[in-house]
Amino acid sequence: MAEANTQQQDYATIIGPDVRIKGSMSFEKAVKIQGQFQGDINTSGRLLVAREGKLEADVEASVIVVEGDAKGALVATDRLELKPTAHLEGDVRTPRLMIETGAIFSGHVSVGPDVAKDRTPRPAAKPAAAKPEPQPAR
Amino acid sequence: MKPPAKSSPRADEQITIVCLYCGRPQQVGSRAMSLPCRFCSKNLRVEDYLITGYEARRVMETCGTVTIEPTGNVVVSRITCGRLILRGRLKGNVVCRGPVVIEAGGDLRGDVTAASISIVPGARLEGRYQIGADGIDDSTGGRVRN
Repeated sequence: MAEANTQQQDYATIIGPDVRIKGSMSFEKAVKIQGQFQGDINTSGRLLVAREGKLEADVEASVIVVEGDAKGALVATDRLELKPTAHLEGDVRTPRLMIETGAIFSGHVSVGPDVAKDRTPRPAAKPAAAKPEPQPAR
Repeated sequence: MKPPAKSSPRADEQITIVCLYCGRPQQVGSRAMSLPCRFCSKNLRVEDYLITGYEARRVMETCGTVTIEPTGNVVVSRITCGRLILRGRLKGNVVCRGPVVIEAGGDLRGDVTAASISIVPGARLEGRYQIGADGIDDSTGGRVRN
């Protein structure tokens, strides 16, 4: 119980098992995905796809840990870990890759000290254009 | 390329290998270097390879372990092996029935199909990877799925 509480405290944001999100997400600390996420993630923090979580996204993060299902292009500027229950389909770029026995992975891999830095920057998400306020009729 | 130095095994000692072609496991004498598969009759190399220098060839096949030392530099079209330990440079595709271990300083350019992979920080990789059940299936004795 105490361990579970500590784990919860490690992640400032938890996307619960009954949550489905489509869109783009950015955060600074750490997010744990137990539900489903589809879209883009761009962060300097840590991302955990929990065992029951499903991710279908292009992700750029400092640390990415996959325990569940993930699909998409993952860029980890520090490291990427695939746990024994992980199932990843997609391309990976990271300086350090850890794949534990039992993990299933299919995709293109670029691993090396400079690979995460070398990549061409993704275009930043455009902010929604503000609607002009209607002018009062004169 | 030379076989690694190891303590001489007893003549009656048996090891289990998996055929690279039909995927069936079988017991063979530990001193065997090559033999025909009991099931599909294809010729199998069983010896381990230790590569310490430059090596260029089309295909490298063995049911044993291929070890590429830090001074090793291998250019090959395809390596099919029971186990791969990479400490040096390898350019080519790998099909491995057992684990692929890439240690610090290891540089692998090519596609990899393996049951499992261990990558130590400091390794450099570039290529397409099929790891786990989508590549080699341990439960079927390490047969490659077509």
